[in-house]
Amino acid sequence: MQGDVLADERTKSLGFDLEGKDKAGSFAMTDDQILLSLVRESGLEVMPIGEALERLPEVREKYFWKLISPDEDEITKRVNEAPLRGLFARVKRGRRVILPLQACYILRSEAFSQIVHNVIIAEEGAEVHLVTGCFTSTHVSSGSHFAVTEIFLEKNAFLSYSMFHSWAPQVEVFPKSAALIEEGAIYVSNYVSLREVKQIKAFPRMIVKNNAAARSYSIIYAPKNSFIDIGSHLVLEGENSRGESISRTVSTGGKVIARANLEGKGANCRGHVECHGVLLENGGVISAIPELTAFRDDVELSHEAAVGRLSEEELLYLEARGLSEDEAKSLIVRGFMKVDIPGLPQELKKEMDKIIDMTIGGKEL
Amino acid sequence: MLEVKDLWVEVGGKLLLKGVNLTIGEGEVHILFGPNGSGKTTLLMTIMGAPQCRVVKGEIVFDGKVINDLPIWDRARLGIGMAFQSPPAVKGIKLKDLVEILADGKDGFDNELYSFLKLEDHISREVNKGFSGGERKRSELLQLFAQDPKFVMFDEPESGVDLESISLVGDAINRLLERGHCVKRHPKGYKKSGLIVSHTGYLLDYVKVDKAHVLIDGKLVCDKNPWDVLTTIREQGYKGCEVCKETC
Repeated sequence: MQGDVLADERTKSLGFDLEGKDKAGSFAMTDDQILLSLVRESGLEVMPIGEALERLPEVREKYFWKLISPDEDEITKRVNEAPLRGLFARVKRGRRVILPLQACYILRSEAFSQIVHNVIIAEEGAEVHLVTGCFTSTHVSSGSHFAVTEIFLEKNAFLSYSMFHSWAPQVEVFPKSAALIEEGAIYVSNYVSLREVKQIKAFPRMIVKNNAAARSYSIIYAPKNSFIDIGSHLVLEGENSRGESISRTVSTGGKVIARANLEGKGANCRGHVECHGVLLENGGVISAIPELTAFRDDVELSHEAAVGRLSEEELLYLEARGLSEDEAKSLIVRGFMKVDIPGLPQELKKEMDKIIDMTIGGKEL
Repeated sequence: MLEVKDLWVEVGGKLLLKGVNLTIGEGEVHILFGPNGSGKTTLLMTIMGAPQCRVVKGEIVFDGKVINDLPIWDRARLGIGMAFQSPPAVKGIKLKDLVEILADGKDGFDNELYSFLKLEDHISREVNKGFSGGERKRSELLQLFAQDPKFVMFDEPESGVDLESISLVGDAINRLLERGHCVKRHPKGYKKSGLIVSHTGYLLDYVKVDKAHVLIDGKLVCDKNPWDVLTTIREQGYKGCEVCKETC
């Protein structure tokens, strides 16, 4: 079975090689089966969540269902009722794991509902870069994926969480995540979806404590028949906390809602929202919905939003250099989606850019 | 190389060029003077093929081929290049990446050009984003070196450039047009042609120009030695060119 999955082009096209010799650890699920769970670096624990709950009593005490309530909505209820599957990952105090830790969620059976609950922990001063890939096997066209992910960053930790989605046209995806970012910690969330998908709804919540920071990036390419409702909810609770929610969305016929909700509660907290959307074809819709709420007089929250067509001036400029209209559009769109993400290891950034080039570069825009 | 025959052009419903005739031979460099709003940029953009410049009448012939109906990129691929007066910032694309795309498959681009044009610190930045006036002009020149056109148009390359940097822009134009003393000739053997739009004529101190033209109200009124034309403009303003036109 493993060979069958490893051979899947889609997995490889997103840079996921399950054997992952250049990864700090690997976790993979097909449908509701745990396929693989291994660690290559010391100071890092990776195991199925069920095993973690059995072996480590503190998981239930401190983390499991502690950031998200099981009866919060239909998704959480569904996850709570389903058999327990998912990833537990923890990086130990002070350990800096630079190689990415990868997790793959694969839908292998037609019309299957994959349901997972993940718990990710970066202990004090630790660093970890989690990369998840969500795929369907090539023969699968429909299914659904429900996920609850609870993320904990202890004091001065750094955690980046990059999610690459590559689903089939009739797949519906409902990830529900929340992150608690303790004092001085930095959390970076990257959400990338570049293929047709029936529906994705994701609105991760990030609670940011004193001197901590949360940065959320959503990179979305929505072909026809896709509906993607995405964004982030940043609660800037701590003194001097920082938050940034950035989205770059492109529609060639799909519908996108790019949301951001910033709540400024802590003294001198700062937050910024950027929702930029490009509509390449009629029939598509992009809505940018930034929401800012200040609860104190020393809070500074701002947003910039722009949706619409590509700049004619930029296109003409590149065309005058000899790029055809399609080449110029493709170059601008790829550039638009390649956001600079501070703190992300170079290799991971390159990997992200490569995925954008491979998915968008070959398309007629 | 380039022949413009009785060219009438309108932009946004307004007639801006009214019967322009211009011939630039292989290896020749011409300079185009003219007051604000006389149609200089329109002429360049029309030759380049910008869709907003609608040719009402006339022909543009490049290398013996009528190019009126060619899209802008096909003209660029035939060998027409242009340095924009106010180039836009292109978000998300690094200068170095664009230069590499333009230089791809062509020989002759030398990485030393980054330092020659004082753009070493700009190559990993987004194209023209946050660049000063002078930096934008140099970025235009860098891209043209990479693109390597046979015929290059420069739209006010000295505007917004401080006096000290004009010599650099002049040197770069010379080098690009293969007009300097120590310039390595293009492997294909041709020498580039050029058309420089200028307001001030400062560049004449640096670039050897064969002929000058003056564009007034959509018509070319002169075809003479650049220094004589510049002297007339300096002494009598463009009015002098109007008078001269009658005696031409």
